[in-house]
Amino acid sequence: MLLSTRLFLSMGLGLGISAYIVFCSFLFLDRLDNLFVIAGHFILLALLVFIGRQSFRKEDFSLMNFRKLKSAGIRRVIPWIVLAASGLTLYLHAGLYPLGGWDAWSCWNLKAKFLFLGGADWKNILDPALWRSSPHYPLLLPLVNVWGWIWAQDTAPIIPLINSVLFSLITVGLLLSGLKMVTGRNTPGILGACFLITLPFFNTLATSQYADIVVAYFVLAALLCFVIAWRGENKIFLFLTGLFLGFLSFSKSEGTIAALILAAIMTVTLLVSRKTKGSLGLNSVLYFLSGLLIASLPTIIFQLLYAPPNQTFTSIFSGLTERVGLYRLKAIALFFLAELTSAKWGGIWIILLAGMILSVKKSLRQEKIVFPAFFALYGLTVAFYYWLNTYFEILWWLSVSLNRILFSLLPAALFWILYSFWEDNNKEGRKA
Amino acid sequence: MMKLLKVFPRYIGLKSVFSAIIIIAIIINAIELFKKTPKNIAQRNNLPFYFLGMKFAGLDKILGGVTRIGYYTDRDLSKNSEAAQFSQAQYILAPAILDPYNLNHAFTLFDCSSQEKCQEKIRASNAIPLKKNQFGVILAGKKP
Repeated sequence: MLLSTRLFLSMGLGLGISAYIVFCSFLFLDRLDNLFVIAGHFILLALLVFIGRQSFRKEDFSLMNFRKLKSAGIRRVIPWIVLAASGLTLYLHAGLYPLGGWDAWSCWNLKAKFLFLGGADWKNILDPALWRSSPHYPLLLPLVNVWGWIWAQDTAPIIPLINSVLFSLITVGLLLSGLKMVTGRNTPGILGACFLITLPFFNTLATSQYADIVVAYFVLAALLCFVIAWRGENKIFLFLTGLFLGFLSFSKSEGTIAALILAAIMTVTLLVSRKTKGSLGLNSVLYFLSGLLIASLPTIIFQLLYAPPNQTFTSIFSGLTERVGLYRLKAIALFFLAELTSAKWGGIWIILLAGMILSVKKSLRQEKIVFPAFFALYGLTVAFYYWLNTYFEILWWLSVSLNRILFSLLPAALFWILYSFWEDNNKEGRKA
Repeated sequence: MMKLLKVFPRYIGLKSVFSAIIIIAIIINAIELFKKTPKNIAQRNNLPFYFLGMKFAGLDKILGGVTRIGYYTDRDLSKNSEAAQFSQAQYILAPAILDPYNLNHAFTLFDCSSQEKCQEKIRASNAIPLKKNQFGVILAGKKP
């Protein structure tokens, strides 16, 4: 496995675990305790080093071999140049709004501030008076920011800014290295990363300090791990897929829905596949489900113990006429179309659709079926929710939220199409 | 024409065509990005305020451990710019919860379109002004 892929997966995994340790402080001590959090990290780190001591010895850190790096020449350096340029672009965009976009100060960073400064009153984030901050949203991003603030010892705005750049960068890096890993070539990864990072809209949204980039990262990470597990017949990656889905479920309400849909599709795919009955083994489903269960525990606990009901929900069945239902349906369908073809996406969705049509046989084959199945089911669920919930005026609501939903799916969609297109030339990749 | 279409993929593979389309899109997007970014940076540097919520900075020091304060404004909070200012005030003053239009709390913030309107409302709500910052935001306390 490529060290770079491992690096980008472990950074997301690490941030997720850190957020969960911070959550444990609120769960067990009913407040933020810095000592508990730091000690928790050290204990976990020591435990992981103890468990993994055998694998460290066997490890081949080939990328750190500078002789190899020199002999590989410019080809090996290009992805890192792309990544460095991405970092610079993202940093410049993040600097435009150091305190983030609207949802950063009205929702995500506000929650983080309550968690960090609230002491025993941290549960005030769930107060109905704060309905503008969506108190029912899960807490992964605020907890990651709190983790940073523990080290800064203050609610420094630089921490959420760094976290947004970091999540954006590891999303681009994971796309780059993930495609290199599964196709055995640099080209698709470089094309995908450049396509993402040259989109002004991607840069703006990625660095707005919203949870959408966190959703985008975990969707991509879960799907990539599933593909790696499938191709390499490696059950550990199914466990990792489950973990990433668990983190995804704690990132945002949309993330919870996405995680549920992905979990259902992956479980069914594993259960009906011949590979599971053969080389991968039936217990691979257990690996997947155990990872999912462990990382979903904070979501389950949050939903059961803390999350208030969604105050911005009114069902369409509560006294609206049939005509309104039909109007909303038409508005949603037309808006989906208008959004996908909007100039702000730089033609990316049209190109991806063309790519899907051109590689239709390959893009629906074997493990890749989870991609279209997920996009279709998630799209339908989102459309149904837009139709069902009449709390907001539909056109306004679509205009402020649909682009973010598409944004969170974009890296995974790019991965799917580029992977399908370049799959033939992946002799090297298959061995990985 | 048909002959050309049959021969075409032999020389230029589908992958090359798809790559070329993506590269063209990347170049167009990159030009847009290079045009927009310096312009946006210059625009941001010329703005007097990064953040409207800064109007409320410093008031949190007086509040101490108060968890809930009233917030009064004569502006329409359903408007985008006013709602943004309210949310930014909430962010700056967190972990205290701002309770809009509720004047029954021990402390209330008065953020009005004019000082006269603020003073009038403070008198009417039987409160005493405690601190006024340079932006005209007044923190008032309930009379004992």
